[in-house]
Amino acid sequence: MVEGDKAQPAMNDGTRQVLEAIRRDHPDWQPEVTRWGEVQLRVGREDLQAVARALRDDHGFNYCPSETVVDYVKEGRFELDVRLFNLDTGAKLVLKSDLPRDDATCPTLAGVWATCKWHEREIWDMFGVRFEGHPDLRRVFLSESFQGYPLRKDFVDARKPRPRLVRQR
Amino acid sequence: MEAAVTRNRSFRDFLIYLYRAARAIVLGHAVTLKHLFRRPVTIRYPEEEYHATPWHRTYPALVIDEATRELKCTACMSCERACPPGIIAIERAQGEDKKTYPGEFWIDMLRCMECGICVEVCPFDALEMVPEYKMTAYHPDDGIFDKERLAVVVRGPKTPWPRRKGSYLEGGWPT
Amino acid sequence: MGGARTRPEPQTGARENVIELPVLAEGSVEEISGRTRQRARFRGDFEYPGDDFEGPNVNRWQYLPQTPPVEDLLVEEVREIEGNEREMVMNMGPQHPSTHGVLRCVLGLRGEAITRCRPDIGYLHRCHEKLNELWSYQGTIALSDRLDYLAAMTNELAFVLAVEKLLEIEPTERADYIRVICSELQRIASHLLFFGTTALDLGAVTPFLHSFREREAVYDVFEYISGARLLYNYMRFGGVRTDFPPGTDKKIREVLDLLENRLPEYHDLLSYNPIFAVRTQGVGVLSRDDAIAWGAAGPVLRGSGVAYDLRKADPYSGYEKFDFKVCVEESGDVWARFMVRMKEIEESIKIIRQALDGLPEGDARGQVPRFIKPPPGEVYARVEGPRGELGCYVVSDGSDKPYRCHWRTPSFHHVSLLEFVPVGHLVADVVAIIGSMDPVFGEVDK
Ligand code: SF4
Ligand code: SF4
Repeated sequence: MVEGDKAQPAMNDGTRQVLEAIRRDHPDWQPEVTRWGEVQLRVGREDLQAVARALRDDHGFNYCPSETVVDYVKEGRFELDVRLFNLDTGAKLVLKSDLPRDDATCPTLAGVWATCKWHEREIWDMFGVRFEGHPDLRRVFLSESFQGYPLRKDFVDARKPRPRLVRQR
Repeated sequence: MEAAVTRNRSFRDFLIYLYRAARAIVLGHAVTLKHLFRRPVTIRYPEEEYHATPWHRTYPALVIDEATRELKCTACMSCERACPPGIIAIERAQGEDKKTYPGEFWIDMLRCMECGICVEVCPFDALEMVPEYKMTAYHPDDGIFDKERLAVVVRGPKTPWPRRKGSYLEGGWPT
Repeated sequence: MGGARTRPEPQTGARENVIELPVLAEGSVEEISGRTRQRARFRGDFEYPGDDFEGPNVNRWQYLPQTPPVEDLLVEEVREIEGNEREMVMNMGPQHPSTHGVLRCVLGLRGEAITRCRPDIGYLHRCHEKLNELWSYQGTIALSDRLDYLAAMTNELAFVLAVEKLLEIEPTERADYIRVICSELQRIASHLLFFGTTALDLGAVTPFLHSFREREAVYDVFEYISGARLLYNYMRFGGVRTDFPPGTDKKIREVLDLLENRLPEYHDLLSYNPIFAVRTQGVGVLSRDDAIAWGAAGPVLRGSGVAYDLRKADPYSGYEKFDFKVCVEESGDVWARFMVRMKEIEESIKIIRQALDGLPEGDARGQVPRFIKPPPGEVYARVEGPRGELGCYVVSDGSDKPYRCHWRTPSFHHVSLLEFVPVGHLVADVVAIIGSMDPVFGEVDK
């Protein structure tokens, strides 16, 4: 997926500046460029909050439209995927972090971008990733009495199937 | 409205507010009055019919070939496989001349989402969306349409949709 | 709403406390509680707390069917309310005519002033993202209509753009223009609905009828183009399903002319009506920083003075070819969000006219492989829907179904704003604030 500098024409100016700034200021972060022209950072979950804060304060990523988790059940990990944008320069960045499936916890980003409060509630609801330090970690769509986390790939619906009027595929 | 009064403290402001409100009421009524002289956009439904676009998608129907007076469907099962909610059920039968035809063909119209994907994938143009929107029934079982209920004769120009040529559906649905 | 439900204060000599309640004027306490007591006697089994004039500890949950479970309010909040004599809890929704669907708000009230608001969502949850993982790519286009059912075209567009990026195909030029026309018509239809429902929430019934009439005209065009009025299933990978049927150009232009005639009438009816202005100006102010931090998008963000529009900031489908301006209002209140939407209708009309003039000849359907099996990878595509940035994050594992499909829906975040925007306003203003966020619950609850 990552093609290095070959894919750079798709990058806009803001993203290019951010890439340079990150390479200059944080040599240990190892930014990559995705083929859609986004800077991608892969950080350990213990560094997540520090990196997020630096991105917001030093690089102007003030807008976080999407935060979600993908369940790679075969590899035994969740992948946290945070999309960041800079509203002023149009820079795009993806923040990735691997969370082990058997210890699905993650430091919260709600203190960095307030919108992550609800993103993380949704992730907790659907994947059961517990965000440490989250102010209000309740389920958002399902009721508190619901058992299990439905978007995990190994989720089994324990309820009786509803009768179908026409044969199911 | 309490807020309105408290926010306009002085008497002069209050008068200005009154004037503006009166003006707005007059303007609003003028708009309403104009509609006395416009044609109504509503129709009186049971007496008057709403004529939907000829290619309006209401439900998929089985097309009868007018020449042979048989269903065009050959029970190839493409539509059954492609229907996203999985509500088509076909039982394939074989005639004496080895041609297959649908022995039974059900569509659970209560769960049909009218997407038209079955029509697009049919390689024999044997399904067609019809613009009939009066589908009420007295019992849920009547919502499951069988072969007889689904059969229609389609006359005249119909769907301007991609059929077999020029789309990614060329040659039918991936099976 | 508040008057009948506010608990009359026990008359224990603490007159200052009585004055604090904004709904009760001095001296009317006796009268109101007397009247209510009569009603209570009539109902027999209902014990009204006003009967008990001496007791300081009346049960404040009496107006609710049960004590609010902890899942609605935080534990500390419940404790805080219990410790505070003056605060009561009111349940608004999920079947409230002004909540645009099934939003439930747990409101903490002091008199009629709101002290806290907890939006509670999920009543329309339909497992959208789970279904995406179970359905094929073609079926998912039809399914994405159901996400924000008032803007089906832009939902489809987001998904189709994402998968096109994965498949590395380009839509034909004509298809791009058709997509732009459809998205903008959709934006007009959605904003017209917003105009009507906002007016209805604030008690003006007539504008609702007017805007729905014009909205039907737009939907007639959609019916003519795609065969359906609300859920179109029209976009396809590499293009759109069908080219415009003959005569579409004329039909669309007729609708645009109609709209241009009718928009001044709307402004006469509602927008510049001082009563409406007083109900909306200065109400529900969302500051610029809050709007950005809480992920507000679209007209809500632009109403707070941020000139951010994906059609300009990150153009897709050839939006860079069209000349239009981003509508911004600085004040951040309900009125600003309303005006942004009304101006956007005009801009959309401009864009559609340009697109119709420049509509290139050619094929509206691209050449796409028969098997839609994107190579493994992931992509985030976003479009500017009528409600704001609609993002679609698709992960493919090379099979014919998405491995994961996440929707970033703007209304979800606009509902989250209700946690703090209504605080300090009256109950009647909550209705205006919810209306100005324009949430669609298909999209909030997914
Ligand atoms: S229209 Fe769609 S849902 Fe209905 S039968 Fe055809 S494929 Fe199935
Ligand atoms: S795709 Fe057409 S021919 Fe094949 S079973 Fe369905 S209706 Fe019959």
